[in-house]
Amino acid sequence: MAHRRCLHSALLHATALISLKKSPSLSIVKALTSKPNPGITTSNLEPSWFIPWSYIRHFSSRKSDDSENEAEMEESSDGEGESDEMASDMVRDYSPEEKEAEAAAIGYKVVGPLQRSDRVFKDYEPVFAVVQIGSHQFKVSNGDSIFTERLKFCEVNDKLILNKVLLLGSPTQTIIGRPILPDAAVHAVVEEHALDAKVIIFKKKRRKNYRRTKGHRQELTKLRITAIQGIEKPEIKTDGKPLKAAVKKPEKIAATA
Amino acid sequence: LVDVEKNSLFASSFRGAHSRLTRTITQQRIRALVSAHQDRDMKKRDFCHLWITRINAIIRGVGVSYSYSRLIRNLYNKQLLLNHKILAQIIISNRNCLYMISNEIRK
Repeated sequence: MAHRRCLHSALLHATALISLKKSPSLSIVKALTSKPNPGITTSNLEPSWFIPWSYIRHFSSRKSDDSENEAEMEESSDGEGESDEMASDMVRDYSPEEKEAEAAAIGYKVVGPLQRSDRVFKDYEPVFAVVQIGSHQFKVSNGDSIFTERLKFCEVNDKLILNKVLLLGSPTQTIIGRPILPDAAVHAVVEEHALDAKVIIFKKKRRKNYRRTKGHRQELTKLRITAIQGIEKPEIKTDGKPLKAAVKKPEKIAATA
Repeated sequence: LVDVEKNSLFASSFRGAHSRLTRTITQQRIRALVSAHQDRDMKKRDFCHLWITRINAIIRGVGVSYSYSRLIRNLYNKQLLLNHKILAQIIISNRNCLYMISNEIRK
């Protein structure tokens, strides 16, 4: 009974993990650590499932991995490849570069090569894009700087391409993505990896002799947006993309707006 | 800084005896930290309320019996993923973009 209860909660956690689809291994570690510890008997019952997962079990000492892996295998075969990467992220063995690229795609960024002598910083253009990184959305324009959650696999002065673009806008044109725009891209450069200011987590229950103090500094990445692609810069041009769910403002109305 | 000085530095902007007397300094410091902890979560709620109110106010000007709830329903039906923060920002900075979005969605 306890086994089934643990499996059930593991299923819930696994569905949460699979549906979230965000890379940062912090969230995965948190999810795994928050799970209850089931008995080891689960592993004995289904040994065949653990052959692909066995390498993970060696590195992580958490027994909760077993039932979670079971649950993930039960859940869907689509989630398999993804949970493979997530578990391997925790293991910190990023040997194949393809794995890095996939994990980067989960966080909606593609790392380009390091920048040497490119002149990437242009003047301000009145075009904006709404881009999603992880679960946060930002309305960015040329030359903005953004603080996001710490992005793995990129160092300072790396070029990124953020490909989950939800909306492009300019004074004359608005392109709406449903939900994302497939051929829009926002280029950014990693400016720094920094820690946030310290917040003190203080818990107190009065009259119960319970008090906890903890400090926390969130790891952030500062990105600077360099270019937005996929929209006409405001020289008055018209082109129609009716099939791609683009909304265009005709020039007559644009003139009056 | 010595711990006692750290304590009183924390409460150095408090009013009256709460920044001068050591016992009340510790008490008020504890209350301040607890409030900060709670309000960090409340901040997220407060901002969401603010954005909803702003979106509602602007959307009601678009057409007769058009409201925030209908806008959100249409957003979900047409599979847009813009969140409230972004909608509120678009409203303030690029009002016409929002009108375009709402017109496109209403069809």
